[in-house]
Amino acid sequence: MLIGRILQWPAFKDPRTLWRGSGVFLVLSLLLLSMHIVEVRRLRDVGLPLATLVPDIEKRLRILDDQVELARLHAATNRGAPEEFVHVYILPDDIALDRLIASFEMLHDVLKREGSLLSMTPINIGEKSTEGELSRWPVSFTVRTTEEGLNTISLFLSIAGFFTVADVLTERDIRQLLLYAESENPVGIVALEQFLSADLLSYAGEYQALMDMVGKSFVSPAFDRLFTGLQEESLLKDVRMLLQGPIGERLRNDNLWPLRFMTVDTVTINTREDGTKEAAFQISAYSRM
Amino acid sequence: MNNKPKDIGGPAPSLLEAGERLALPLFLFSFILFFFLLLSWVFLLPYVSQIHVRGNRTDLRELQSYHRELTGRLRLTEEEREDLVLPVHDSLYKELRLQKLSRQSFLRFIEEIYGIAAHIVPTVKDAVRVERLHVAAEQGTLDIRGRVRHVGPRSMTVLAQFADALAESPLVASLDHPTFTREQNSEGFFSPFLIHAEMSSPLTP
Repeated sequence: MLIGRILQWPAFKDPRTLWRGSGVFLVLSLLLLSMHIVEVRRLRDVGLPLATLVPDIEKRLRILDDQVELARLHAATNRGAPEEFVHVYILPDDIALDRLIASFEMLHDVLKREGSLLSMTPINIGEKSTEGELSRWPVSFTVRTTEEGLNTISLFLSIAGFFTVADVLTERDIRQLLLYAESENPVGIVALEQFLSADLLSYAGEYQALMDMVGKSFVSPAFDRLFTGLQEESLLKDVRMLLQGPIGERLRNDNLWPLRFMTVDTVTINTREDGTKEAAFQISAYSRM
Repeated sequence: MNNKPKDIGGPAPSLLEAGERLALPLFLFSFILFFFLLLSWVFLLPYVSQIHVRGNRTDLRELQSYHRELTGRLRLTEEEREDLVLPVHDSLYKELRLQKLSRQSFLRFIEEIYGIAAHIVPTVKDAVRVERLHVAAEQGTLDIRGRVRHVGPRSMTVLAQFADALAESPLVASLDHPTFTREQNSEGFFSPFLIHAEMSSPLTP
């Protein structure tokens, strides 16, 4: 009845109006239809993959939260000691000349005893320059050494200032270790934390014990490959080469560990006819302003 | 018998008349089509497009927003974990440490250069004699001065091989090729060289 009355309206008697109306509704229908298609495609291409991803992310987040909680508890009992060493020895508030020179004297003594250091010029310390909150002290000296002696001095300077195992690893290495720990044994993060926070002298001295400790928490071949690879391919190998020998012993006995933060700016190496090397080092020793 | 079709009423309608007759049905059809599509858009599609996630129904936009929130939390938690695991947080120390790690170890570089020099001519051990190495670690550059000798008139060729081998080393980012010259002294032919190279950073993948 109602429809009948509506159809009696004058607009419905004019064919042109009806055709225009049809055109409008058809265009709107096409628009709605294409919006339906777009929405269904979004659902297929975006929604369904997300629906499978989200539960995995939630699961991973739960594991991470547990790991963070464990790490917090462990850190609460151990935080502080490494920071103090950094403030007192590695980046002290002043030049702390005595420890700096003592470390070079120790190096000189050890290499001279081994016969790999033939001569060493006086050590010159220049005027400091300022870089933000840091002071930079230029230090220069020249040595005449065998190839082994040059290697030892280079290793010494390359690790000077690094304190813990984590300090000589890159962010990528650490992230990979954590990812493996997360997937294999989340609780093992405590062992990993202990390994990463071990100071390098202890790492060199108790290498096997540290490896065994981590090995007990993570047993998969994939983790073992990554972990063993890091010991051989990163600076950790240099650390063991240097600190497992007489240099490490002297650093421990003379209380010279950790070393001042130093970087090599330039080195010029001349090879003499007898095969020995004459190396002129320009290095920077750092302290706080 | 009359086989002619029964006359059903007059001549065939013109296009105009056909159009007039079609107008209302077409209008009704298009209106109903539009109406049902609109109903589907407003009621049916939102219901059908809800996704089940862990027993709950949620629409696509909410799911995308939840996913973004989760990935944000994940990233923050990962950073917090890394932060807790690293024992030293002193900002000055961290900055210096990164700077030092980003520099190529000059010892590795020296070992690489001497190693390449020793093996360029397997039968002549000191064919490439590196006389002077200057490493500017901060700038990441290296100057190698030396001479190729004891290989007769092939000294320039051997020098080219040495330069190529250096350029292919993963520790070398780029290299300025030396000037090739051949000289002669009492020991025979030799080619002095000076090679300038840039070291790659160990942190660059």
